[in-house]
Amino acid sequence: MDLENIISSDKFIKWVQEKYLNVEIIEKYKKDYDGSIPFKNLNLRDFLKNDMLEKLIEEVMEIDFEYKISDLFQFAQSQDFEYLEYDLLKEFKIFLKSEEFLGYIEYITDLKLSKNVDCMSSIYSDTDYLLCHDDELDGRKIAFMLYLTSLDEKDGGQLYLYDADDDTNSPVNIIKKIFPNKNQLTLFEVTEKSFHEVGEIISEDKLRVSISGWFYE
Amino acid sequence: MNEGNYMIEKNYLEEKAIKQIKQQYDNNKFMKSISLYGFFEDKFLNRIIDEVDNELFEKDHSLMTHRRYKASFEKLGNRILENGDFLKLIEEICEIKLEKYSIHYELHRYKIGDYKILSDGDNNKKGIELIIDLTPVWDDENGGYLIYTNGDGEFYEIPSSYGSLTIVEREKNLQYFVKYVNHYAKNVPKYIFSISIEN
Repeated sequence: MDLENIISSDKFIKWVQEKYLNVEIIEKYKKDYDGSIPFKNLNLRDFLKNDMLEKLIEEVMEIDFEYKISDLFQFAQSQDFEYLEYDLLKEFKIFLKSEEFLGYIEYITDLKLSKNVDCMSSIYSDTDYLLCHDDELDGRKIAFMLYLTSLDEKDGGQLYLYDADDDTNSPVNIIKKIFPNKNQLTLFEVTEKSFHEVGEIISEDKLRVSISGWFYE
Repeated sequence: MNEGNYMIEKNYLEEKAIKQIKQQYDNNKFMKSISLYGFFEDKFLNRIIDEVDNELFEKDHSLMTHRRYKASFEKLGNRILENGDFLKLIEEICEIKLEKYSIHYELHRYKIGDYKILSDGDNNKKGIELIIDLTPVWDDENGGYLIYTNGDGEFYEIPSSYGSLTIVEREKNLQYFVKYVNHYAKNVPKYIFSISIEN
């Protein structure tokens, strides 16, 4: 689908802030994504229209979350939006797997994506974390997260991106810290070296709430 | 130096007690195991703790599997493995002859942000694992405790308890992870001394 058609579509006009409906801006972000380190990633601040974001947040806060604990993580997670009885969450997932949105992400990332998309919400509260891992699984190509809350550095909950040792293919140093910012869409390419981690939440009252998932090949 | 006269709490050395311990060890449905609380005498522990503070720890970070510091702590390893009462107890409970096995040990220190997760690279050989908790004050709300899993999604928690000895028969697929140590641990480190007995 042609980029001009994508950004002038009803879906994009309904969901996405106007500043992102501009070919020149998209070209700039495509370059940013290509040149990013330690692996390809992109952060789009104030991505969704504010009214749509607030309505999404309202529905997310009504979901039943399941608290999950394993050796690797501790946080609360919802089911995939497809299986939830919330109209706007369902519609948001339909938007993510629409020809238009996939085309937008494909344009930026130069990847070919399928209509197979996972989309769920997670809440990290005090002491929750997700340890370092690569996300690689069954054709995952792009991981995305849309932050619904903002956290300061002292609150923890940052997304850490690691560089990798080429010989051992293991994470070495934190190269980039991405702070959760309300209404920021963060993307990164999933590869065998996309080592990342969500730092522990260090706040008794702040929550790290996001919508996240993967686009597949 | 023979320190057998002050190492293990006397109660644990009585024939009757050893029989009971063995029975409980054998009957644990999740895995053959038992935790012996207050196993070591205070006098012994106090001395060990002083020595822990003087150990040279080296960074042991392999982020996909663990993040901690380690030390060989031979002083403790030697003392334990030279203690006849200790060896006899293990042989009786686990029904093994230790001379047929090789034994390795290591002290691990876990502080805020540290962890050990399950990993394919873990030693999957059959054997016996001994876990000694050397942390005088610890709240399990801070993480840092051990959880065994059998690969079928079942978990078995080993709560922290200063001076306890946990004996586990390591079967295939049985591994433990150390729960991430959270910020409430402040500056307090968790010390775990583990002894691995295998063919």
